Amino acid sequence: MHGGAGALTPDLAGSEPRDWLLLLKPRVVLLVVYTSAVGLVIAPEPIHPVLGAIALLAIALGAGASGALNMWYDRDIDAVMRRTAGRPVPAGRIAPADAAAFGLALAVFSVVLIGLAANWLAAAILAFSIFFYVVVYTMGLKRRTAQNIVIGGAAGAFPPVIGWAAATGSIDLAPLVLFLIVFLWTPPHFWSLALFAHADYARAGVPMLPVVAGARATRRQIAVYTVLLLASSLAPVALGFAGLLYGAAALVLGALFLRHAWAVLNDAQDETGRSLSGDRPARAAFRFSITYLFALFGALALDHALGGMAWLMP
Amino acid sequence: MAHAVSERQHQATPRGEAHDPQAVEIVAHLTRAQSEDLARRRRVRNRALGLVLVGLVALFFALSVSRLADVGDPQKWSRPGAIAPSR
Repeated sequence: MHGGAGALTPDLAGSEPRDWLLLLKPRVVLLVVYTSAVGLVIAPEPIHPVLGAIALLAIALGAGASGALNMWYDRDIDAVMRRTAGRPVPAGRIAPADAAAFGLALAVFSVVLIGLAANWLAAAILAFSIFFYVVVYTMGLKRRTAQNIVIGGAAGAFPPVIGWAAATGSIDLAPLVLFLIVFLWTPPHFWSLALFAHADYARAGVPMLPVVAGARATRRQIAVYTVLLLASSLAPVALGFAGLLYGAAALVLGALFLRHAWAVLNDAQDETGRSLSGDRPARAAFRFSITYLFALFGALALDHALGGMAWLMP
Repeated sequence: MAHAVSERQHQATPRGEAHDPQAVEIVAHLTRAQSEDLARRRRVRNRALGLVLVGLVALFFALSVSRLADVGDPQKWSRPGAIAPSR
């Protein structure tokens, strides 16, 4: 509820445009648009720039629709988690039914828009990714299993595939490798967050890995997935659709991520595995994971633009 | 802060209009500051909605023009019975 001298009851106060924007999870949307733009840029067939921009807008709206439907469904657990209690629905600034209607309308609009601007294969994948995030992850997995974000991570891995499909009208090995990279990036990213926010998750009854299996097991899993991520990030070079520039960037970024994972694994902890440093390494790993994905995909796009630095070869 | 919101049946129906026994009148007793805040929020929402509508017009105009520009050389497909290729 709004505070201050001019406070109104929720029904009378209503929302502001900013609340509807927050409902779309803008920071997640930014990452989604970025990875899908890279998928679109490295595709072998060019797309009309305006149609490409509209396709990216549609992907952004689809991701935003998923966020809105997620906030509608999770309003009960969002209300008890400190990190999410201020979101528009649990805070009472947007009525749950309005959030659901907004999310559904935006989801349909985004799918039709990308179908008209690009092709119906991209539209079908976008529709499936929204379904996967909302129904499979949010409604099915999130409250039931500690593997929620491992399987649910697939939803966030679709954008580069959609970008590629928007440009080419097909799916190839390259976008599937990008899918794999984002898929393997998701667990260390979210489990780092869950390590220092596990009290929130425990209070809400969400079975995140640190809540169910403990911090020690989570740190081991972060290390395992980071190694797998490093290996998968080199696949574009091995498969020949990325060159030296990307390969060097993937190695350096992977080594830095491994160092963070190592620091998380060796964090000072008590006999139950609880961090004695306030989960400082996990916080650093979480922040770095975002930089990692931006830099890795940026290197791939740059590598593609420069022709893989083939001009450096004799 | 508590606010008095009263609902009461219409006492009188203007001559010539059909009487609607279900009709209610909602009267919110707001302070001046609250009224101004409510009006400001409405104004911001209306402007945002206006921008969205203008954006939609621009979006579909750009989409249509770009699709027309993206159909390639009409010489290659504009023969009887042919349609513009689409991806």
